[in-house]
Amino acid sequence: MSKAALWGTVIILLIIVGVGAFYAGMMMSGGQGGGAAGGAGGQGTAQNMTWTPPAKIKAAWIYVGPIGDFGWSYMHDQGRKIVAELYKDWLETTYVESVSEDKLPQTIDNLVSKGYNVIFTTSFEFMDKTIEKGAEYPNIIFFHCSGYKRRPNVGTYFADLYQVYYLNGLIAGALTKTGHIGYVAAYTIPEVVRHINAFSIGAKEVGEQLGKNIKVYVLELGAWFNPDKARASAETLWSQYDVDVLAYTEDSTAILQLAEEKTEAYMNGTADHPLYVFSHYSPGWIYGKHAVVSGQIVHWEVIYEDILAKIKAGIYTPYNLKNVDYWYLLDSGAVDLGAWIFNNGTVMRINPEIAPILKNITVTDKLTGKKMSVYDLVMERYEMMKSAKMSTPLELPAGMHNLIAQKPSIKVDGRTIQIASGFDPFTGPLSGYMKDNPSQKVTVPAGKRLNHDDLWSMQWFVDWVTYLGRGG
Amino acid sequence: MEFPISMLIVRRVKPLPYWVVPVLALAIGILVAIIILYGISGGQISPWDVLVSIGQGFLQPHLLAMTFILLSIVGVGLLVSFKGAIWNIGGEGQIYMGAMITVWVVLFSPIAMMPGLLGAFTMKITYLILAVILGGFWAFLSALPRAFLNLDEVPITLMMNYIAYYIVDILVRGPWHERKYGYLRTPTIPENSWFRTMVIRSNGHIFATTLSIELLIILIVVFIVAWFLLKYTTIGLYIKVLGNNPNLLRSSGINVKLIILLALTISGAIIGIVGAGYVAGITHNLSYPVEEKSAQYGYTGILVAWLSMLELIAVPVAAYIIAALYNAGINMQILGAGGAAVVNVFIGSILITYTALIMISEYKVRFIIKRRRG
Repeated sequence: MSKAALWGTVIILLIIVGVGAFYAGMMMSGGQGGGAAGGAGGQGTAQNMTWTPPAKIKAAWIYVGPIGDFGWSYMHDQGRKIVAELYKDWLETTYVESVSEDKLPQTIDNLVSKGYNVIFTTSFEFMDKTIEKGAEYPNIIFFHCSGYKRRPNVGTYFADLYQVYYLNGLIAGALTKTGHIGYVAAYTIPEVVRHINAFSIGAKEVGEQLGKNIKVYVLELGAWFNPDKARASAETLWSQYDVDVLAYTEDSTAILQLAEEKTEAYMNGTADHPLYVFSHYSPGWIYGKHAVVSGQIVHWEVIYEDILAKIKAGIYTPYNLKNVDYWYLLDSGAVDLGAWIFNNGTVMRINPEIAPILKNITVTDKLTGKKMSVYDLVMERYEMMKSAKMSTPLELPAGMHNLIAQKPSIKVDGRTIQIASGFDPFTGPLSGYMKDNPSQKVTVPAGKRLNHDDLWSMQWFVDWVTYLGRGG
Repeated sequence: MEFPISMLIVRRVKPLPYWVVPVLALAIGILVAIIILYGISGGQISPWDVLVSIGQGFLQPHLLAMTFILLSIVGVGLLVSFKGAIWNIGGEGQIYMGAMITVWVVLFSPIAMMPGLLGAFTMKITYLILAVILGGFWAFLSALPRAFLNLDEVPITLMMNYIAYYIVDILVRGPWHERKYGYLRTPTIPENSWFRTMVIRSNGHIFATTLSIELLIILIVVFIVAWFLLKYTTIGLYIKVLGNNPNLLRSSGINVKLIILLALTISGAIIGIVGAGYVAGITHNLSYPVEEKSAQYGYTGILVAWLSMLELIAVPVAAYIIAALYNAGINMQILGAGGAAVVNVFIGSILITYTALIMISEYKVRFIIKRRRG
């Protein structure tokens, strides 16, 4: 063994020990000297609660996947680019992609050391680390997407798709011929369970009226991004369960492409039924011009625009985010129904090739008893949920979300004031079973509307959902 | 017609000074990476940005400390078995066994049921010892077929990784997952069982590091133990002889099976510590599916051991280089020099050039011009 390598090692170890000892020393002396300075972060911040927004806001986004996934991370990055352009006079942005949970602390430290003062962490699994880092950096503003833990300098936000899945479900119930509908789920966590149920409720509402025995088959992937498994699972549902309409939660376009192949085969007469699909997260019509019926679209920029404007205006500070929890629904504009967005901004809500089928199927609106086409029913419900503008402010502060379900409308001077949408898919009567213990039944009494907390901890499926376990 | 020049690769009689090769190999690797990135991006990725990222990457010991420490421990652990030509590819499994027992101790064991029974220090010692035992046990299981059936340990240790992953998956999906929201992860482990990373606050400045003093001390202890084992004990000697000439051991009447069992078990025991460090120092929980969440230190550690040329003293150097390159990758992204894919190309091309050059450093190339007879 040569001396040089030995010395190299020794020097590196010495540097690290030295650095460590130096800072340990600083901590000790700080503790003895002031007490407050070296003390708990809470005390330290309490003394300098005055905060002026920085002249230049440097915001960083941390993504769990690659932005090329065309799903979750891609749409967050679209949001980032839009606000970066809108606020370019005072906003500087960057991003780090494909960050795993264990690399998050190092990434945040690096960003802070480069002067970034607003940090968005955009994955559920970043929750605990974001809170820990928030405690270490009480003067940096953090926003964590999809979690439920907050701090004075860590807010949360989420754009919820369940209403859109319900609308997709209405269409699915009309389109299916076999009555068998598929759902490929990344994980069966509460968020996805809520989407599966909303989709299934929609499908049954229309399908039942048309005399179909609606069954929804769910396969779980165990990954947010796994094109191969997603494709294999969709194939299984199509070939073994006679599924002819499919929705999913996965961040690639694999399922759209598979559905297009199957639907083209049907159109050429080589398959006995098509496979219609609803694109997830980003507009996906381009990947399946015959198979993509509609889909869920997210507009994170709606939330990012609001957060950054409020930081710039001094409304959000590192000391008052404890109750900031965006839970944005259709009325907020953060989510939308559609298969494609054209360059001029117009949205294709339903694929024009398939829309005529929906216009020719007549059903009864269970709210009014009116007869109308499925197409009109979808649009009516969409408008109802979309136009509930008084709901939006309640979708921002933590602790107020439940008001939406508690007081969808109030009476003032004898007039009915509509607060939330007059309709919500999660309104009783509903019955289901616990995901982990199917013998345990769950019932929602007629007229009861589930609130935010019920939805965010949802661990049960409606009765006509069959959970097939992990596929792929 | 015969080609008039022939190339001959010969072993160097006098090896180059040790430091020349790594430094040169790294420099050439960086150069190659810069050229490749410049090429594939059509000139978009500026060599200057890449150099700045690398410079920052190496000069941020406070950010790469955690990766450096954990990779060093894995490297040291692997070295013990590699010295005996026992190729332990099962670092991942041994890490996850250590991680599993750590989570069990702090959340689900009888100790966890009675908070305050053990102080933070005793708690940490308890799960560290159990992580050592379980990591060692896991490697021991792979060592049995190697010692008694003479089966190749490479596929066995590798397959044991997946068994370990899936055991942990079953626990995290099943009895261990947090109940309140139903997410497929264990609850967060209590704060007093964490290896805290250092944060310095002075005059309103906050300087956070990924350095845990406790883990650094563990690394130093592990390093000294491994050094002592390999240098001053008979077991260490036998392991080294096993690597060079197992027949010699056999003919001198030494129980080769026992040495194989010991080499792998000690290796796994050391690596088991990393599992405890990973959970208690970084993630503070385990989440499903672990095979996708894993930082894969068990595999990266193999690279560390190889780059050290199986010299114990060079393991931390190799670990530092790799930790610094990953750190440089983060810097590159923040600087806007490229996304994760570009970073992978960058790290990959540096490491492959570096590895290739290190390996051929013992040889030199000689060109011989042949004269025609006539």
